[in-house]
Amino acid sequence: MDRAAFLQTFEEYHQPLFRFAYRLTGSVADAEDVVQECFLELLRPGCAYDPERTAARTYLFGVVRNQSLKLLAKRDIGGEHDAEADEKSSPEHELLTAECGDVVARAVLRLPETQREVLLLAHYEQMALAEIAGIVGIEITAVKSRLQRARSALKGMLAAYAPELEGRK
Amino acid sequence: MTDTELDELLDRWVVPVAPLSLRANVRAGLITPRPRRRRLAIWALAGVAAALLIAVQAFPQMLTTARIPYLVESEFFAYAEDGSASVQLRTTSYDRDGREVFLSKSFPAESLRTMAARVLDFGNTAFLRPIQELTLLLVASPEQIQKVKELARLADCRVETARAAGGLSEIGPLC
Repeated sequence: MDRAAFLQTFEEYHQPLFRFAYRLTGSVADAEDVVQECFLELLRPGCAYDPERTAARTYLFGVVRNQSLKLLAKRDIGGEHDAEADEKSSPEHELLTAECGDVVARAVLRLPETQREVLLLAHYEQMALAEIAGIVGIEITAVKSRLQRARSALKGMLAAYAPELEGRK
Repeated sequence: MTDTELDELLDRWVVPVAPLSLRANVRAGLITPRPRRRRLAIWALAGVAAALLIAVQAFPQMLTTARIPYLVESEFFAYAEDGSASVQLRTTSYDRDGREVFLSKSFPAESLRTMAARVLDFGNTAFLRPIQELTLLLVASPEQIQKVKELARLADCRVETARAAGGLSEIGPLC
């Protein structure tokens, strides 16, 4: 990839990729590292990206997804993820301590990774099921079912906030 | 909770914009060569240097710009009290304006000393001598150069005399 094309790709995709990595990892520093590594991967000789076979967006989101999952796996081994705190906190408790946006973030981060990544791509990045299937490497039907499970889990976790939403209307 | 309500709730999760350092780091990566490429260049340079060293050891005359009409291979013997002789030093040299220029030296009984001498010979032939010659050409007049050559020739004569006094004698040329 030449310099001009690389810079154009960076300008076009770095913000959505950062958003996606941030929502997957829950950390600005980790998301920055992942996105940076993803773009530097493009510059490496022998990079697997083939513009004739894969769209740049699909390839880049795929790389960010893989890097983020690797990071999360490392974090789990290192014990950085506070699972106990997650279990103790309930939506009612969080309502008292955090803003609505933070509660939604925590609820999404509590989803299993397989459901979370599908939800993030579908809802926040407005991707079609076929494109998500290409990034995650599964069948469209599997994407659909994971998305449904994620949404129904979130409905359960965030049920306490529906009245608040009604109140604002 | 309806799907629309869930979507509204999800939209409340706002993420920060990408830090400016991300752009700076990626641009830096665009300019700085990747470590793998740099490592490759270092290995390539080391390979070329090693090949050059081997080639110079095999054909010591290849690095000098001077036209060498013939090479002199000499052996220096040391004689023990019982009259037995052993080779102490082998050299390859040529004559330049009446001055003997050594291309290589080896000490048959001392392999470490031979290796050290070859490395020094290589450094001398490949770097030091061309720099000396170039410097001399740039800073000195032809008369001064002639004077330096004369002094060098005299110095060589003194070295040969000292060698003879120390018990080493030269038998050669061999070719």
